[in-house]
Amino acid sequence: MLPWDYGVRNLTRRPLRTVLTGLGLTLVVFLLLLVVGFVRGLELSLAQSGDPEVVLLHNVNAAENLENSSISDEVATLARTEFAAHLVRYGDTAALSPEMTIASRVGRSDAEGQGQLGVLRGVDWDRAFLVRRQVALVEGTIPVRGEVLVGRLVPAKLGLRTEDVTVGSTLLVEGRPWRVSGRFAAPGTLLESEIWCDLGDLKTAVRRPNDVSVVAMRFDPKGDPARQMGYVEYFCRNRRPDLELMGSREAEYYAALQKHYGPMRAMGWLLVGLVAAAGACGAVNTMYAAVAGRVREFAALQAVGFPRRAIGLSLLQESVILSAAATLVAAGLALLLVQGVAVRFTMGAFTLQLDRTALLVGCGAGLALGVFGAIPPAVRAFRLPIADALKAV
Amino acid sequence: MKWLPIPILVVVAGLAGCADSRTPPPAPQAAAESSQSSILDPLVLQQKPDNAISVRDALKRKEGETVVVTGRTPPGNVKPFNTGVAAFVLMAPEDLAQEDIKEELECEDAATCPSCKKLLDQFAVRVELVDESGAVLPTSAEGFRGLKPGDPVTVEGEVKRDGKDKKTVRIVARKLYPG
Repeated sequence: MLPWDYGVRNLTRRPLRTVLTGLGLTLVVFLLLLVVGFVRGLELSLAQSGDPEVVLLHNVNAAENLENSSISDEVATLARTEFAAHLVRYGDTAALSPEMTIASRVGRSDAEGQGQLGVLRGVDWDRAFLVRRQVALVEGTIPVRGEVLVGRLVPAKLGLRTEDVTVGSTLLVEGRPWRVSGRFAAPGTLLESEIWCDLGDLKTAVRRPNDVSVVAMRFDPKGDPARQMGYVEYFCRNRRPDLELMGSREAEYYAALQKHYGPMRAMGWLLVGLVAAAGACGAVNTMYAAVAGRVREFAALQAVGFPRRAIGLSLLQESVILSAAATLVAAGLALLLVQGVAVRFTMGAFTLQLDRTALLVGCGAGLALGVFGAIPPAVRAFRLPIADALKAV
Repeated sequence: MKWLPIPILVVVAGLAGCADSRTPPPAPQAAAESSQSSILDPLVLQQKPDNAISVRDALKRKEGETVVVTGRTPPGNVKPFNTGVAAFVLMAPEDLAQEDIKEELECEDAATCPSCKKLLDQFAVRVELVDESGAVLPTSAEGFRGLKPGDPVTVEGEVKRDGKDKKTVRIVARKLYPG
Protein backbone atom coordinates (compact mmCIF):
# COMPACT_ATOMS: atom_id res chain seq x y z
CA MET A 1 0.00 0.00 0.00
CA LEU A 2 1.07 3.58 -0.60
CA PRO A 3 1.95 5.57 2.55
CA TRP A 4 -0.87 7.54 4.13
CA ASP A 5 0.94 10.86 3.87
CA TYR A 6 1.44 10.35 0.13
CA GLY A 7 -2.21 11.05 -0.44
CA VAL A 8 -2.20 13.95 2.03
CA ARG A 9 0.87 15.53 0.37
CA ASN A 10 -0.78 15.26 -3.04
CA LEU A 11 -3.57 17.50 -1.82
CA THR A 12 -1.04 20.23 -0.98
CA ARG A 13 0.86 19.89 -4.24
CA ARG A 14 -1.83 21.83 -6.10
CA PRO A 15 -3.25 24.09 -3.37
CA LEU A 16 -5.47 26.24 -5.60
CA ARG A 17 -7.19 23.22 -7.17
CA THR A 18 -7.60 21.64 -3.74
CA VAL A 19 -9.11 24.79 -2.25
CA LEU A 20 -11.49 25.33 -5.16
CA THR A 21 -12.62 21.70 -5.14
CA GLY A 22 -13.07 21.88 -1.37
CA LEU A 23 -15.07 25.10 -1.70
CA GLY A 24 -17.32 23.51 -4.31
CA LEU A 25 -17.93 20.48 -2.11
CA THR A 26 -18.60 22.72 0.91
CA LEU A 27 -21.22 24.66 -1.03
CA VAL A 28 -22.91 21.47 -2.24
CA VAL A 29 -23.05 19.94 1.25
CA PHE A 30 -24.22 23.27 2.74
CA LEU A 31 -27.05 23.43 0.21
CA LEU A 32 -27.97 19.82 0.99
CA LEU A 33 -28.10 20.58 4.71
CA LEU A 34 -30.20 23.69 4.05
CA VAL A 35 -32.81 21.77 2.07
CA VAL A 36 -32.87 18.79 4.44
CA GLY A 37 -33.14 21.22 7.38
CA PHE A 38 -36.20 22.77 5.72
CA VAL A 39 -37.88 19.40 5.16
CA ARG A 40 -37.08 18.17 8.67
CA GLY A 41 -38.27 21.46 10.20
CA LEU A 42 -41.64 21.08 8.47
CA GLU A 43 -41.94 17.40 9.39
CA LEU A 44 -40.97 17.92 13.03
CA SER A 45 -43.21 20.95 13.57
CA LEU A 46 -46.21 18.99 12.29
CA ALA A 47 -45.27 15.92 14.33
CA GLN A 48 -44.63 17.83 17.56
CA SER A 49 -47.63 20.13 17.33
CA GLY A 50 -50.05 17.34 18.17
CA ASP A 51 -50.26 16.42 21.86
CA PRO A 52 -51.08 12.67 22.09
CA GLU A 53 -53.28 13.24 25.17
CA VAL A 54 -55.39 15.99 23.57
CA VAL A 55 -58.68 15.31 21.80
CA LEU A 56 -60.35 18.09 19.81
CA LEU A 57 -64.11 18.44 19.51
CA HIS A 58 -64.86 20.29 16.28
CA ASN A 59 -67.41 20.64 13.52
CA VAL A 60 -67.89 17.41 11.57
CA ASN A 61 -67.34 19.28 8.29
CA ALA A 62 -64.03 20.80 9.35
CA ALA A 63 -62.01 17.66 10.01
CA GLU A 64 -59.17 18.81 7.73
CA ASN A 65 -59.07 22.50 8.57
CA LEU A 66 -59.91 23.41 12.13
CA GLU A 67 -59.79 27.14 11.34
CA ASN A 68 -63.07 26.62 9.46
CA SER A 69 -64.70 24.85 12.41
CA SER A 70 -67.59 26.49 14.26
CA ILE A 71 -69.38 24.77 17.14
CA SER A 72 -71.80 25.97 19.75
CA ASP A 73 -70.60 27.68 22.90
CA GLU A 74 -72.43 25.13 25.04
CA VAL A 75 -70.21 22.26 23.85
CA ALA A 76 -67.54 23.10 26.41
CA THR A 77 -70.02 22.81 29.30
CA LEU A 78 -71.56 19.62 27.89
CA ALA A 79 -68.17 18.03 27.35
CA ARG A 80 -67.00 18.94 30.84
CA THR A 81 -69.95 16.99 32.26
CA GLU A 82 -69.92 14.16 29.75
CA PHE A 83 -66.21 13.33 30.06
CA ALA A 84 -65.69 14.39 33.68
CA ALA A 85 -64.49 10.93 34.72
CA HIS A 86 -61.91 10.66 31.93
CA LEU A 87 -60.23 14.06 31.78
CA VAL A 88 -56.99 15.10 33.45
CA ARG A 89 -57.85 17.28 36.44
CA TYR A 90 -55.95 19.89 38.38
CA GLY A 91 -57.85 20.05 41.63
CA ASP A 92 -61.45 20.75 40.66
CA THR A 93 -60.56 22.04 37.21
CA ALA A 94 -60.72 19.70 34.24
CA ALA A 95 -58.15 20.12 31.49
CA LEU A 96 -60.66 21.34 28.92
CA SER A 97 -60.13 24.48 26.86
CA PRO A 98 -62.66 26.13 24.55
CA GLU A 99 -60.78 27.97 21.80
CA MET A 100 -61.48 30.07 18.75
CA THR A 101 -58.96 30.04 15.93
CA ILE A 102 -59.12 32.51 13.07
CA ALA A 103 -56.78 33.76 10.37
CA SER A 104 -56.65 37.52 10.04
CA ARG A 105 -54.47 40.33 8.74
CA VAL A 106 -52.00 41.45 11.39
CA GLY A 107 -49.52 44.26 11.14
CA ARG A 108 -47.73 46.93 13.05
CA SER A 109 -50.04 49.69 14.18
CA ASP A 110 -47.72 52.34 12.73
CA ALA A 111 -47.19 50.65 9.37
CA GLU A 112 -49.06 51.19 6.14
CA GLY A 113 -50.74 48.38 4.28
CA GLN A 114 -52.90 45.48 5.41
CA GLY A 115 -50.24 43.39 7.10
CA GLN A 116 -49.66 39.66 6.77
CA LEU A 117 -51.97 36.76 7.47
CA GLY A 118 -51.58 35.67 11.08
CA VAL A 119 -53.30 33.01 13.18
CA LEU A 120 -55.18 34.23 16.25
CA ARG A 121 -56.32 31.92 19.00
CA GLY A 122 -58.82 33.07 21.62
CA VAL A 123 -58.43 31.09 24.83
CA ASP A 124 -59.73 30.86 28.37
CA TRP A 125 -56.64 31.85 30.37
CA ASP A 126 -57.72 29.72 33.34
CA ARG A 127 -57.74 26.55 31.26
CA ALA A 128 -55.59 26.95 28.17
CA PHE A 129 -52.29 26.06 29.82
CA LEU A 130 -53.85 22.96 31.41
CA VAL A 131 -54.34 21.56 27.93
CA ARG A 132 -51.55 23.22 25.91
CA ARG A 133 -48.66 21.67 27.82
CA GLN A 134 -46.11 22.69 25.18
CA VAL A 135 -46.75 26.40 25.81
CA ALA A 136 -44.82 28.41 28.41
CA LEU A 137 -44.81 32.13 29.10
CA VAL A 138 -41.23 33.37 28.64
CA GLU A 139 -41.63 37.12 28.90
CA GLY A 140 -44.21 39.61 30.13
CA THR A 141 -47.65 38.84 31.57
CA ILE A 142 -50.88 37.09 30.66
CA PRO A 143 -53.01 39.48 28.60
CA VAL A 144 -56.02 41.36 29.88
CA ARG A 145 -58.69 42.80 27.59
CA GLY A 146 -57.18 44.55 24.60
CA GLU A 147 -53.87 42.69 24.89
CA VAL A 148 -52.29 39.73 23.16
CA LEU A 149 -49.63 37.13 23.86
CA VAL A 150 -47.37 36.40 20.89
CA GLY A 151 -45.41 33.27 20.08
CA ARG A 152 -41.66 33.54 19.47
CA LEU A 153 -42.11 32.89 15.73
CA VAL A 154 -44.78 35.55 15.21
CA PRO A 155 -42.28 38.11 13.81
CA ALA A 156 -41.17 35.56 11.19
CA LYS A 157 -44.78 34.69 10.37
CA LEU A 158 -45.69 38.35 9.92
CA GLY A 159 -42.52 39.29 8.07
CA LEU A 160 -41.50 41.68 10.85
CA ARG A 161 -38.30 42.12 12.79
CA THR A 162 -38.14 40.69 16.31
CA GLU A 163 -37.72 44.26 17.65
CA ASP A 164 -41.07 45.21 16.10
CA VAL A 165 -42.98 42.70 18.20
CA THR A 166 -41.69 43.22 21.72
CA VAL A 167 -43.58 43.46 25.00
CA GLY A 168 -45.31 46.83 25.03
CA SER A 169 -45.51 47.18 21.24
CA THR A 170 -48.86 47.35 19.47
CA LEU A 171 -50.25 45.18 16.69
CA LEU A 172 -53.22 45.99 14.48
CA VAL A 173 -55.63 43.01 14.38
CA GLU A 174 -59.11 43.09 12.90
CA GLY A 175 -58.71 46.85 12.55
CA ARG A 176 -58.07 47.28 16.27
CA PRO A 177 -54.84 47.99 18.11
CA TRP A 178 -53.82 45.27 20.57
CA ARG A 179 -50.95 45.72 23.02
CA VAL A 180 -48.42 42.89 23.25
CA SER A 181 -48.35 41.91 26.92
CA GLY A 182 -45.95 39.00 26.66
CA ARG A 183 -44.30 36.29 24.61
CA PHE A 184 -44.64 32.53 24.83
CA ALA A 185 -42.55 29.61 23.67
CA ALA A 186 -43.83 26.32 22.32
CA PRO A 187 -40.64 24.84 20.87
CA GLY A 188 -40.95 22.84 17.69
CA THR A 189 -44.72 23.37 17.33
CA LEU A 190 -46.89 25.49 15.07
CA LEU A 191 -48.42 27.11 18.17
CA GLU A 192 -45.30 29.26 18.40
CA SER A 193 -46.35 31.28 15.36
CA GLU A 194 -49.77 32.14 16.81
CA ILE A 195 -51.12 35.21 18.57
CA TRP A 196 -53.18 34.42 21.65
CA CYS A 197 -55.81 36.62 23.26
CA ASP A 198 -58.78 36.39 25.59
CA LEU A 199 -61.58 34.26 24.11
CA GLY A 200 -64.29 36.78 24.95
CA ASP A 201 -62.23 39.57 23.44
CA LEU A 202 -61.79 37.73 20.17
CA LYS A 203 -65.44 36.69 19.95
CA THR A 204 -66.42 40.34 20.30
CA ALA A 205 -63.86 41.47 17.75
CA VAL A 206 -65.00 38.97 15.09
CA ARG A 207 -68.69 39.24 16.03
CA ARG A 208 -69.17 35.56 16.85
CA PRO A 209 -70.62 35.65 20.35
CA ASN A 210 -72.21 32.18 20.36
CA ASP A 211 -69.62 29.81 19.03
CA VAL A 212 -66.06 28.61 19.32
CA SER A 213 -63.81 26.72 16.90
CA VAL A 214 -62.81 23.74 19.01
CA VAL A 215 -62.96 22.37 22.51
CA ALA A 216 -59.57 20.87 23.35
CA MET A 217 -59.59 18.22 26.08
CA ARG A 218 -56.77 16.32 27.75
CA PHE A 219 -57.70 12.75 28.50
CA ASP A 220 -56.12 10.76 31.30
CA PRO A 221 -53.05 9.04 29.80
CA LYS A 222 -53.67 6.01 32.04
CA GLY A 223 -57.00 5.35 30.31
CA ASP A 224 -57.49 3.21 27.21
CA PRO A 225 -57.20 5.60 24.24
CA ALA A 226 -59.55 3.48 22.09
CA ARG A 227 -62.21 3.51 24.79
CA GLN A 228 -61.80 7.25 25.31
CA MET A 229 -62.37 7.90 21.59
CA GLY A 230 -65.36 5.54 21.81
CA TYR A 231 -66.88 7.76 24.51
CA VAL A 232 -66.23 10.85 22.39
CA GLU A 233 -67.76 9.24 19.32
CA TYR A 234 -70.81 8.12 21.29
CA PHE A 235 -71.32 11.68 22.56
CA CYS A 236 -70.96 13.16 19.08
CA ARG A 237 -73.01 10.63 17.11
CA ASN A 238 -75.56 9.29 19.55
CA ARG A 239 -76.01 11.69 22.43
CA ARG A 240 -75.86 15.01 20.59
CA PRO A 241 -76.00 14.46 16.81
CA ASP A 242 -77.77 17.84 16.54
CA LEU A 243 -74.52 19.63 17.42
CA GLU A 244 -72.75 18.12 14.34
CA LEU A 245 -69.59 17.38 16.28
CA MET A 246 -66.66 15.14 15.68
CA GLY A 247 -63.75 14.17 17.92
CA SER A 248 -60.19 13.86 16.64
CA ARG A 249 -56.95 13.07 18.43
CA GLU A 250 -54.79 16.14 17.93
CA ALA A 251 -51.79 13.98 17.05
CA GLU A 252 -53.81 12.27 14.29
CA TYR A 253 -55.02 15.63 12.98
CA TYR A 254 -51.45 16.83 12.50
CA ALA A 255 -50.44 13.45 11.08
CA ALA A 256 -53.14 13.93 8.43
CA LEU A 257 -51.72 17.40 7.74
CA GLN A 258 -48.31 15.78 7.24
CA LYS A 259 -49.86 13.81 4.39
CA HIS A 260 -51.33 17.02 3.03
CA TYR A 261 -47.84 18.50 2.85
CA GLY A 262 -46.50 15.26 1.40
CA PRO A 263 -45.94 16.72 -2.10
CA MET A 264 -43.95 19.63 -0.64
CA ARG A 265 -41.81 17.25 1.41
CA ALA A 266 -41.34 14.99 -1.60
CA MET A 267 -40.18 17.98 -3.64
CA GLY A 268 -37.77 18.85 -0.87
CA TRP A 269 -36.24 15.38 -0.91
CA LEU A 270 -36.15 15.47 -4.72
CA LEU A 271 -34.22 18.73 -4.48
CA VAL A 272 -31.82 17.04 -2.07
CA GLY A 273 -31.26 14.28 -4.63
CA LEU A 274 -30.75 16.75 -7.46
CA VAL A 275 -28.29 18.88 -5.50
CA ALA A 276 -26.38 15.76 -4.48
CA ALA A 277 -26.31 14.58 -8.11
CA ALA A 278 -25.08 17.98 -9.29
CA GLY A 279 -22.42 17.93 -6.63
CA ALA A 280 -21.36 14.44 -7.61
CA CYS A 281 -21.01 15.47 -11.25
CA GLY A 282 -18.87 18.42 -10.24
CA ALA A 283 -16.72 16.29 -7.96
CA VAL A 284 -16.22 13.61 -10.61
CA ASN A 285 -15.37 16.27 -13.19
CA THR A 286 -12.75 17.80 -10.91
CA MET A 287 -11.25 14.43 -10.12
CA TYR A 288 -11.10 13.54 -13.81
CA ALA A 289 -9.10 16.72 -14.42
CA ALA A 290 -6.82 15.97 -11.48
CA VAL A 291 -6.23 12.37 -12.56
CA ALA A 292 -5.69 13.29 -16.21
CA GLY A 293 -2.60 15.24 -15.26
CA ARG A 294 -1.15 12.38 -13.19
CA VAL A 295 -1.29 9.48 -15.65
CA ARG A 296 2.53 9.26 -15.88
CA GLU A 297 2.81 9.40 -12.10
CA PHE A 298 0.45 6.43 -11.72
CA ALA A 299 2.28 4.54 -14.48
CA ALA A 300 5.60 5.15 -12.72
CA LEU A 301 4.20 3.88 -9.45
CA GLN A 302 2.95 0.74 -11.18
CA ALA A 303 6.33 0.32 -12.88
CA VAL A 304 8.13 0.30 -9.50
CA GLY A 305 5.80 -2.37 -8.21
CA PHE A 306 2.77 -0.73 -6.56
CA PRO A 307 -0.43 -2.55 -7.52
CA ARG A 308 -3.36 -0.66 -9.10
CA ARG A 309 -5.42 -1.36 -6.03
CA ALA A 310 -2.97 0.56 -3.82
CA ILE A 311 -2.89 3.54 -6.18
CA GLY A 312 -6.67 3.50 -6.47
CA LEU A 313 -6.98 3.48 -2.69
CA SER A 314 -4.62 6.42 -2.44
CA LEU A 315 -6.81 8.34 -4.92
CA LEU A 316 -9.84 7.44 -2.88
CA GLN A 317 -8.04 8.59 0.26
CA GLU A 318 -7.32 12.00 -1.24
CA SER A 319 -10.88 12.40 -2.41
CA VAL A 320 -12.42 11.33 0.89
CA ILE A 321 -10.09 13.53 2.99
CA LEU A 322 -11.10 16.52 0.88
CA SER A 323 -14.80 15.73 0.99
CA ALA A 324 -14.68 14.98 4.73
CA ALA A 325 -13.01 18.33 5.43
CA ALA A 326 -15.55 20.10 3.20
CA THR A 327 -18.40 18.28 4.95
CA LEU A 328 -17.15 19.30 8.38
CA VAL A 329 -16.87 22.94 7.33
CA ALA A 330 -20.30 22.86 5.68
CA ALA A 331 -21.90 21.22 8.74
CA GLY A 332 -20.30 23.79 11.05
CA LEU A 333 -21.50 26.68 8.89
CA ALA A 334 -24.99 25.20 8.62
CA LEU A 335 -25.29 24.71 12.38
CA LEU A 336 -24.13 28.30 12.87
CA LEU A 337 -26.17 30.02 10.17
CA VAL A 338 -29.15 27.78 9.38
CA GLN A 339 -30.16 26.01 12.60
CA GLY A 340 -33.25 27.62 14.11
CA VAL A 341 -33.90 30.09 11.29
CA ALA A 342 -37.67 30.74 11.05
CA VAL A 343 -39.52 30.08 7.80
CA ARG A 344 -43.01 31.36 7.11
CA PHE A 345 -45.63 29.21 5.40
CA THR A 346 -49.41 29.08 5.06
CA MET A 347 -50.22 27.50 8.41
CA GLY A 348 -47.76 29.48 10.45
CA ALA A 349 -44.02 29.36 10.78
CA PHE A 350 -41.45 26.78 11.70
CA THR A 351 -37.70 26.70 12.24
CA LEU A 352 -35.15 24.89 10.11
CA GLN A 353 -34.02 21.83 12.03
CA LEU A 354 -30.64 20.22 11.58
CA ASP A 355 -31.41 17.18 13.65
CA ARG A 356 -29.72 13.77 13.58
CA THR A 357 -31.48 12.80 10.35
CA ALA A 358 -30.50 16.02 8.58
CA LEU A 359 -26.87 15.75 9.67
CA LEU A 360 -26.76 12.07 8.73
CA VAL A 361 -28.11 12.76 5.25
CA GLY A 362 -25.93 15.82 4.67
CA CYS A 363 -22.70 14.39 6.02
CA GLY A 364 -23.38 11.00 4.45
CA ALA A 365 -23.91 12.64 1.08
CA GLY A 366 -20.73 14.67 1.49
CA LEU A 367 -18.64 11.58 2.22
CA ALA A 368 -20.35 9.67 -0.57
CA LEU A 369 -19.36 12.43 -3.00
CA GLY A 370 -15.76 11.81 -2.01
CA VAL A 371 -16.04 8.07 -2.54
CA PHE A 372 -17.97 8.05 -5.79
CA GLY A 373 -16.15 11.07 -7.12
CA ALA A 374 -12.89 9.11 -7.15
CA ILE A 375 -14.00 5.81 -8.66
CA PRO A 376 -14.69 6.74 -12.31
CA PRO A 377 -11.47 8.77 -12.72
CA ALA A 378 -9.46 5.96 -11.12
CA VAL A 379 -10.97 3.40 -13.47
CA ARG A 380 -10.19 5.60 -16.44
CA ALA A 381 -6.62 6.24 -15.30
CA PHE A 382 -5.76 2.53 -15.27
CA ARG A 383 -7.09 1.76 -18.73
CA LEU A 384 -3.86 2.66 -20.48
CA PRO A 385 -1.06 0.04 -20.53
CA ILE A 386 1.93 1.08 -18.37
CA ALA A 387 4.27 1.57 -21.32
CA ASP A 388 1.85 3.92 -23.10
CA ALA A 389 1.01 5.75 -19.89
CA LEU A 390 4.72 6.47 -19.23
CA LYS A 391 4.92 8.18 -22.60
CA ALA A 392 1.70 10.21 -22.05
CA VAL A 393 1.90 14.02 -22.08
CA MET B 1 -11.94 -22.22 15.51
CA LYS B 2 -11.08 -23.07 19.13
CA TRP B 3 -12.92 -19.90 20.24
CA LEU B 4 -16.18 -20.91 18.47
CA PRO B 5 -17.81 -22.76 21.38
CA ILE B 6 -17.57 -19.65 23.59
CA PRO B 7 -20.01 -17.40 21.69
CA ILE B 8 -22.30 -20.42 21.16
CA LEU B 9 -22.30 -21.02 24.94
CA VAL B 10 -23.07 -17.33 25.54
CA VAL B 11 -26.04 -17.44 23.14
CA VAL B 12 -27.35 -20.69 24.68
CA ALA B 13 -27.02 -19.24 28.21
CA GLY B 14 -28.90 -16.15 27.10
CA LEU B 15 -31.72 -18.19 25.57
CA ALA B 16 -31.92 -20.33 28.70
CA GLY B 17 -32.32 -17.18 30.77
CA CYS B 18 -35.29 -16.19 28.66
CA ALA B 19 -37.25 -19.31 29.62
CA ASP B 20 -39.56 -18.74 32.55
CA SER B 21 -40.99 -21.63 34.46
CA ARG B 22 -43.52 -19.47 36.39
CA THR B 23 -47.15 -19.57 35.39
CA PRO B 24 -47.84 -16.68 33.02
CA PRO B 25 -50.52 -14.16 34.09
CA PRO B 26 -53.95 -14.45 32.41
CA ALA B 27 -53.97 -12.76 29.01
CA PRO B 28 -55.59 -9.28 29.11
CA GLN B 29 -57.75 -10.16 26.09
CA ALA B 30 -59.31 -13.10 27.93
CA ALA B 31 -60.22 -10.82 30.87
CA ALA B 32 -61.78 -8.23 28.53
CA GLU B 33 -63.82 -10.88 26.72
CA SER B 34 -65.11 -12.24 30.03
CA SER B 35 -66.16 -8.73 31.11
CA GLN B 36 -67.85 -8.09 27.74
CA SER B 37 -69.78 -11.36 27.97
CA SER B 38 -70.97 -10.69 31.50
CA ILE B 39 -72.34 -7.29 30.42
CA LEU B 40 -73.93 -8.30 27.10
CA ASP B 41 -75.06 -11.89 27.74
CA PRO B 42 -78.27 -10.86 29.57
CA LEU B 43 -79.43 -9.06 26.40
CA VAL B 44 -79.05 -12.01 24.04
CA LEU B 45 -82.20 -13.59 22.63
CA GLN B 46 -82.26 -17.37 22.45
CA GLN B 47 -83.37 -17.37 18.85
CA LYS B 48 -83.79 -14.90 16.03
CA PRO B 49 -87.22 -13.22 16.20
CA ASP B 50 -89.62 -13.91 13.31
CA ASN B 51 -91.13 -10.44 13.18
CA ALA B 52 -87.97 -8.53 12.37
CA ILE B 53 -88.22 -5.62 9.94
CA SER B 54 -85.43 -4.37 7.73
CA VAL B 55 -83.38 -1.26 8.38
CA ARG B 56 -85.13 0.40 5.43
CA ASP B 57 -88.48 -0.03 7.19
CA ALA B 58 -87.04 1.03 10.56
CA LEU B 59 -85.95 4.33 9.02
CA LYS B 60 -89.63 5.16 8.40
CA ARG B 61 -90.89 4.35 11.90
CA LYS B 62 -92.03 6.99 14.34
CA GLU B 63 -90.34 8.12 17.53
CA GLY B 64 -91.25 5.86 20.44
CA GLU B 65 -92.24 2.78 18.40
CA THR B 66 -90.85 -0.56 19.57
CA VAL B 67 -89.38 -2.49 16.69
CA VAL B 68 -87.35 -5.61 15.95
CA VAL B 69 -84.79 -4.68 13.31
CA THR B 70 -82.47 -6.92 11.37
CA GLY B 71 -79.56 -5.60 9.37
CA ARG B 72 -75.86 -5.88 8.68
CA THR B 73 -72.98 -3.86 10.10
CA PRO B 74 -71.09 -1.93 7.39
CA PRO B 75 -67.56 -2.92 6.39
CA GLY B 76 -64.47 -2.32 8.52
CA ASN B 77 -63.48 1.03 6.91
CA VAL B 78 -66.60 2.58 8.41
CA LYS B 79 -65.61 1.36 11.90
CA PRO B 80 -69.23 0.50 12.64
CA PHE B 81 -68.60 -0.59 16.24
CA ASN B 82 -67.97 1.99 18.94
CA THR B 83 -64.78 1.14 20.80
CA GLY B 84 -65.93 2.33 24.21
CA VAL B 85 -69.65 1.54 24.55
CA ALA B 86 -72.15 -0.95 23.12
CA ALA B 87 -73.16 1.10 20.10
CA PHE B 88 -72.93 0.24 16.44
CA VAL B 89 -74.36 0.99 13.03
CA LEU B 90 -76.70 -1.23 11.00
CA MET B 91 -77.64 -1.00 7.33
CA ALA B 92 -79.93 -3.00 5.08
CA PRO B 93 -77.99 -5.67 3.12
CA GLU B 94 -79.67 -4.49 -0.09
CA ASP B 95 -78.30 -0.98 0.45
CA LEU B 96 -74.82 -2.30 1.28
CA ALA B 97 -74.91 -4.24 -1.99
CA GLN B 98 -75.58 -1.15 -4.12
CA GLU B 99 -72.52 -0.27 -6.20
CA ASP B 100 -72.45 3.45 -5.42
CA ILE B 101 -72.83 2.87 -1.68
CA LYS B 102 -70.22 0.09 -1.72
CA GLU B 103 -67.79 2.37 -3.53
CA GLU B 104 -68.38 5.25 -1.12
CA LEU B 105 -67.90 3.07 1.95
CA GLU B 106 -64.68 1.58 0.57
CA CYS B 107 -62.84 4.88 0.99
CA GLU B 108 -60.00 4.90 3.53
CA ASP B 109 -61.53 7.67 5.62
CA ALA B 110 -65.06 6.25 5.60
CA ALA B 111 -65.22 6.54 9.39
CA THR B 112 -64.66 10.31 9.36
CA CYS B 113 -65.43 11.75 5.92
CA PRO B 114 -68.50 14.02 5.73
CA SER B 115 -69.96 12.38 2.61
CA CYS B 116 -69.83 8.93 4.21
CA LYS B 117 -71.47 10.41 7.29
CA LYS B 118 -74.31 11.80 5.14
CA LEU B 119 -74.72 8.39 3.55
CA LEU B 120 -74.91 6.69 6.93
CA ASP B 121 -77.39 9.28 8.18
CA GLN B 122 -79.58 8.46 5.19
CA PHE B 123 -79.31 4.67 5.04
CA ALA B 124 -78.25 3.46 8.49
CA VAL B 125 -79.67 3.20 11.98
CA ARG B 126 -77.50 3.73 15.04
CA VAL B 127 -78.05 1.06 17.65
CA GLU B 128 -77.16 1.41 21.29
CA LEU B 129 -77.54 -1.43 23.79
CA VAL B 130 -78.74 -0.16 27.14
CA ASP B 131 -79.36 -1.53 30.58
CA GLU B 132 -82.62 -1.35 32.53
CA SER B 133 -81.97 2.24 33.56
CA GLY B 134 -81.48 3.28 29.94
CA ALA B 135 -77.73 3.86 30.25
CA VAL B 136 -75.63 2.60 27.39
CA LEU B 137 -73.58 -0.46 28.31
CA PRO B 138 -69.91 0.35 28.95
CA THR B 139 -68.33 -2.20 26.64
CA SER B 140 -67.82 -2.45 22.91
CA ALA B 141 -70.05 -4.95 21.12
CA GLU B 142 -67.32 -5.82 18.62
CA GLY B 143 -66.00 -9.31 19.19
CA PHE B 144 -68.97 -10.33 21.35
CA ARG B 145 -69.78 -13.88 20.22
CA GLY B 146 -67.54 -13.26 17.20
CA LEU B 147 -69.33 -10.11 15.99
CA LYS B 148 -67.29 -8.20 13.44
CA PRO B 149 -67.86 -5.60 10.71
CA GLY B 150 -70.06 -6.97 7.94
CA ASP B 151 -71.95 -9.38 10.21
CA PRO B 152 -75.76 -9.56 10.49
CA VAL B 153 -77.38 -8.47 13.77
CA THR B 154 -81.00 -8.32 15.00
CA VAL B 155 -82.02 -5.98 17.81
CA GLU B 156 -85.25 -5.15 19.62
CA GLY B 157 -85.72 -1.65 20.96
CA GLU B 158 -87.32 1.76 20.80
CA VAL B 159 -87.03 4.17 17.89
CA LYS B 160 -85.58 7.61 18.59
CA ARG B 161 -85.35 10.27 15.93
CA ASP B 162 -82.47 12.80 16.15
CA GLY B 163 -80.79 15.53 14.21
CA LYS B 164 -82.02 18.94 13.21
CA ASP B 165 -84.68 17.50 10.89
CA LYS B 166 -85.31 14.35 13.00
CA LYS B 167 -84.28 12.19 10.07
CA THR B 168 -81.51 10.18 11.71
CA VAL B 169 -82.79 7.10 13.51
CA ARG B 170 -81.40 5.58 16.67
CA ILE B 171 -82.58 2.28 18.18
CA VAL B 172 -82.27 2.10 21.95
CA ALA B 173 -82.16 -1.68 22.25
CA ARG B 174 -82.53 -4.03 25.21
CA LYS B 175 -82.43 -7.25 23.23
CA LEU B 176 -79.88 -8.55 20.78
CA TYR B 177 -79.46 -11.52 18.48
CA PRO B 178 -75.98 -11.66 16.94
CA GLY B 179 -76.42 -13.29 13.56
